[in-house]
Amino acid sequence: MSVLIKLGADGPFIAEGAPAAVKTEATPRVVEGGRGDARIATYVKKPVPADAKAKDWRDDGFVPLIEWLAGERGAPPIVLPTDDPFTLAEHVALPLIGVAFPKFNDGRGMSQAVLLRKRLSYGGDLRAVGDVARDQLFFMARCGLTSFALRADQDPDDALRAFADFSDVYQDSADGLSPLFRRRAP
Amino acid sequence: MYRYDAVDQKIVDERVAQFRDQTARFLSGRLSEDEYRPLRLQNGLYIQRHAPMLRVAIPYGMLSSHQLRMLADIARRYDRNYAHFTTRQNIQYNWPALERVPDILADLATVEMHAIQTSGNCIRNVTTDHFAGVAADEIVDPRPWAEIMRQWSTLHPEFAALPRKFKVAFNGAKDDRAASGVHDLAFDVYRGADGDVLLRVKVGGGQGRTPRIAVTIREDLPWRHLLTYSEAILRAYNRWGRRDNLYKARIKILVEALGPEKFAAEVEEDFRHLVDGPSTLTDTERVRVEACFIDPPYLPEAEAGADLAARRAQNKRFDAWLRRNVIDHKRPGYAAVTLSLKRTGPAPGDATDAEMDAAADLADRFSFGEIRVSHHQNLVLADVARRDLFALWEAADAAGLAQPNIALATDIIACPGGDFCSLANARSIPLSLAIQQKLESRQEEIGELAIKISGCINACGHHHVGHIGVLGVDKHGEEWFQVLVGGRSDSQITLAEILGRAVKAEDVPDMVARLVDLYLAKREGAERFIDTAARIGIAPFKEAAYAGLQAAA
Repeated sequence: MSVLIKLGADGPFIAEGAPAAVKTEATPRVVEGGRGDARIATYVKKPVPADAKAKDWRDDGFVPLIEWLAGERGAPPIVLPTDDPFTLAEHVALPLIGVAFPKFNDGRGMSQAVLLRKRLSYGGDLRAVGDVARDQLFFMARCGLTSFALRADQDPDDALRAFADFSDVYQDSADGLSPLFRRRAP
Repeated sequence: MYRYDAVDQKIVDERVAQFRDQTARFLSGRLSEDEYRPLRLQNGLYIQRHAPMLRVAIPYGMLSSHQLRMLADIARRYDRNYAHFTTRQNIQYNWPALERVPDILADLATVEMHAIQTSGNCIRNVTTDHFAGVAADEIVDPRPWAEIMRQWSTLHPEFAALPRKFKVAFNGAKDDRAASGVHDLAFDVYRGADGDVLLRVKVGGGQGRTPRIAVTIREDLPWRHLLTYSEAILRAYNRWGRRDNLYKARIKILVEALGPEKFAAEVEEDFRHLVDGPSTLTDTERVRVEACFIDPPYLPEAEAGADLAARRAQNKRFDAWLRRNVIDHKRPGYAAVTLSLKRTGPAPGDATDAEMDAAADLADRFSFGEIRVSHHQNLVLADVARRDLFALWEAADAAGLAQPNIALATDIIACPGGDFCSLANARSIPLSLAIQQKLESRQEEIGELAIKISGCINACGHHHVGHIGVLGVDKHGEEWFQVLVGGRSDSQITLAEILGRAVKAEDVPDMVARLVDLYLAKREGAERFIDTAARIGIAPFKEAAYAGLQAAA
């Protein structure tokens, strides 16, 4: 199983999964003759395999929000990027809601999380699920996500460090911090 | 200017450490190319035709001489002794080595600079009027508001993975010098009847493939709501902006698809829940940031003596420079001076390390140690005592920074083009040189003329708002150019019209010359090119452009 990180009162901790098992061997990139560009080809979108099918969030233990609202209640709901989070207004007592991140560079889940926290005052566990990697964790936590189902290739110990990338922030989001301008020393 | 406090400094330092770690993970193979890409982009690092390119933020174009010397030093130590000032008031290095970029960012942090969000699908460097704070026609100094926006947008967790890039500009003057109408989000800053600061909110402007002028969705927004209203706009865009098609992902497409009224209604609905919330600006914060942009200690006896008129009469080049590069200041006895980076030869906006050091010295000697970068890719000394103008001119001339060509035909805006940029279809730099050579001897006679060249549809060279715009296109692997006429980026912002079929690079300078000849033949009184174009319309320019050219094969 993949690793689950949770935010506790004393900071982030590994709640489920065996850290040692998921570490993968890395291959250093070849540095050629000091030419900076040699290591990175111009970005080319990789072709999607023909047999790639739409992700089934049930594999991650969640029911897509629309099906969940229609009555499929075998697992907690997960809010997809195109879903309307306000349809959960009557269900804010749920202990766990998923927020889907189908691709790490799709920021819609961030707004979904903020709306659930700030507009619906959702107080339960809000879990990032999908393409959840180390470099998104700091921002995810700021947007009110409280647990993180790490992508299988992620190093859990490294991921734990992500939450300390910045010791302060400028703006209000959904993690309870007020904007820096309200906290600055006079 | 704004100075970092301990927290500002810490955030930038921690950003450097974060990027150093990301780069180390990428180089060790632990971070995929796909995942490193948005991370490096949000630290200004592109992969270009020959090498990585690093874009460093110059927030709203303001630099201290100390910072400019660091930019020169970086060009010397990490690059090839020059750098390029961009149309977004930033600076770009064309030849840094990837593994040294974290060191460059660490050096920048020592002078309160960074490359945060200068690229990528996020809120980019905030821009404004390069004469902010000194312009005679200014209503409100936009810089404090731009700085407040800079801080709010820096590492905003919710808006770090937007559908596409997002550019914000502020204009506080009667004459809009910030090209605010071609920004994703722009604010006109002005005063209400009670004298307090209000904002006009404009969204959905931009150039690129689908040029659009921003539409006003809110008038008279009190300044306290700058951030909450912006949050509502960004959230609507983050949620509803298209992500399926790169070319339809900018906010202008969303605003157009919904219609400005519907888009505004979406924003207002969210704003209703944010208004008076924690992000509502406080008097304390306004006072704190405004205090960074107070007037320098102007001297009471700054006015030039009678010798200035005598020197003008004796020295034609000094006289031309006074007319072209020096503008009136809000303060009697002072002037704002533009140092031209448009020499016929080097690429528009390029500056060597020695030129940057020289400009920094001029700022120290003549302008309270501050300097601005204009979106026209020139440098500005904003607070020069008029009695120092001749001494400044002599020193600037010695440094090669006194070309008397501001707003003239050789003051060309151009993107780096196909010589550097991997997106470009065509080379902008050789073409700008050819046009400069063609028109240089006549530029005084021609008067104000904004020629803007982009090497591709992305329009970094602002061709849509050039009096004459030139756009590089690819035709079967060859470089061709479309020529446009009638654009302007001021308060009467207008998009230029394409004259007709594309022509080869070698035909462009003559075509531009024919457009200029037509203008000179038709102009009435003191009309500028753009005035004549507005009066006689596009048709005569279409006809003149292709006269003598063979019909397309």
